[in-house]
Amino acid sequence: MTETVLATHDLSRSYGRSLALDGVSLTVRKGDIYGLVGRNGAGKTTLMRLVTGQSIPTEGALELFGQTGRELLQARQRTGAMIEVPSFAPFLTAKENLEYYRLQRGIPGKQAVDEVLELVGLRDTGKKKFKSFSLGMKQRLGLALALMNHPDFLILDEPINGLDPEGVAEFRALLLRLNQERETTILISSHILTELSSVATCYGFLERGGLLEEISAQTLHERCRTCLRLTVNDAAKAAMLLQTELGTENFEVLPGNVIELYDHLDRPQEVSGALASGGVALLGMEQKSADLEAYFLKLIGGGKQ
Amino acid sequence: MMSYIRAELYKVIHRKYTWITLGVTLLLETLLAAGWAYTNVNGNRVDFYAGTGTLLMMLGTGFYAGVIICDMVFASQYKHSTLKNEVSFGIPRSRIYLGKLAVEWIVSMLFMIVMLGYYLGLCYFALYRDPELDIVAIQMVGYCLATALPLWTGVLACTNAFYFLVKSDLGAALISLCVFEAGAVINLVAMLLSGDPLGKGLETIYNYMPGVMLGRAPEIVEDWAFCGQAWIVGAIWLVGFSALGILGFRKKEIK
Repeated sequence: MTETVLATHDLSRSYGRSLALDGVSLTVRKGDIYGLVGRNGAGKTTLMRLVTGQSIPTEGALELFGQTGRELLQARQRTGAMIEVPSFAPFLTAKENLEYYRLQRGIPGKQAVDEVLELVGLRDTGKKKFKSFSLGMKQRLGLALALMNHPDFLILDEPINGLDPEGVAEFRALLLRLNQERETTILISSHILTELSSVATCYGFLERGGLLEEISAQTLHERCRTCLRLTVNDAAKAAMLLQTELGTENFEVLPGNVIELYDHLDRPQEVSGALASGGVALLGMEQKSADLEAYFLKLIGGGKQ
Repeated sequence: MMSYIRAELYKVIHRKYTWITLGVTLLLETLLAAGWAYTNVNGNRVDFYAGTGTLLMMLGTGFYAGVIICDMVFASQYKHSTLKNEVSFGIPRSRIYLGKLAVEWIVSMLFMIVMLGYYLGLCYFALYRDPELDIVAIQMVGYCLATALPLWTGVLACTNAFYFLVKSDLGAALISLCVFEAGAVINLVAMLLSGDPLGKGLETIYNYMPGVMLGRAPEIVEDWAFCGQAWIVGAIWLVGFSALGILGFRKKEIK
């Protein structure tokens, strides 16, 4: 059985009367790239802050590498995190900032700093202080800090904010490399869902502090696949005709006399002919392809709103 | 803990703030000693004993220096949101708290050694000397330092607590200063309530306020019982404010 890296059990966090996280139970397994999806204020950052110990749960518990309670502190040393905006001492350079954290974390070897700066493309920043960095450079330095201790579990909150297109592509490749070569488990949130969908192996959808759904990328892919959306006057009869005339069972009957057909995408005339031959009126036909964004919008549309 | 202290010292050493503060202080000391020397050229007779005597009158500035040192070491960590990097790596909050306090103490001691050594050196070489009085002066400095050290440490712990509990550096510094200066208010209330048991109690508290004890130290040289009381008061402040600070910081939301 795959090792569980992070498990939360009914995790809640409230600020006064406002409930930022409401009984969230999710599981991140070793090797996952777990994408957290949700609107602003859905609870993504709050969840990550609880996992990293920046905030204390009002209720519930969390396990990190199977550790709970005081042992969580030890477990957190196997993680790397970048939550919200990267924050460093403004009066130090990139190298000095990382050297400070290297000393603080007891990471052996001064070369660890140069290696990680090279990895994120910040090796040539020289004597430039952090306060003079662009947003993209700050993001890169935040990522460098998160990676410096070779973490088993990487927690990244909106990591590609401020990165240029080249930086985004490099970042995506880096995440995939870390995941495949070092088996680094990753928990990542991003508003750029196309980017998230290009790396994530599973998803958790958060809305108003609650976890709406947890699904694998495989399941999401199946649910989001392209289809012909047929609106007919008699769905039962149309379904029968699809089976007998076209020899397919690869469809779903939805409420409102709607059928989603997952094959014959390039042969819509055959579909309309088969239905017409059986006396079924085709009221509408469109090709529909859902992506992560469409799926998410559909999900929150039918969620707790 | 050693890793944490090393890292904090690295940060302090790499701040311009540290070196500018030290430079300005040494410059002021130079000006003071040069002032004495200048008056000597014009017929005055300020000697090493008098020079060190002036220093002992200024022991209370150690409290204010503590605020600057806390500011230097804490480095606006709430403002720059850098505490999250420490907490999220699993460094225990008590270690963060005590580590900063330890570094503040180390930096304070280093500053004190450099500043004191420099000033005494200036006075020794630039002012008149009398071998007998010089020994008395050194003894006075030794005694006053032995008394001031625990009081400075206690007050440093108080300032550190407010830097952790109050998110604004300026707010923390102001509250700390109010606590140091609370003696004057306590004394006033004690005088208003003189004869009353509460007034008596307040008077006792006033007498054991670090600022008041430090002010009395140069007047009662070689009263080692008083020095012992200073160590007890310093220890109470150190333990009390550290406990308060750690308890408050453990539950604090790091943003």
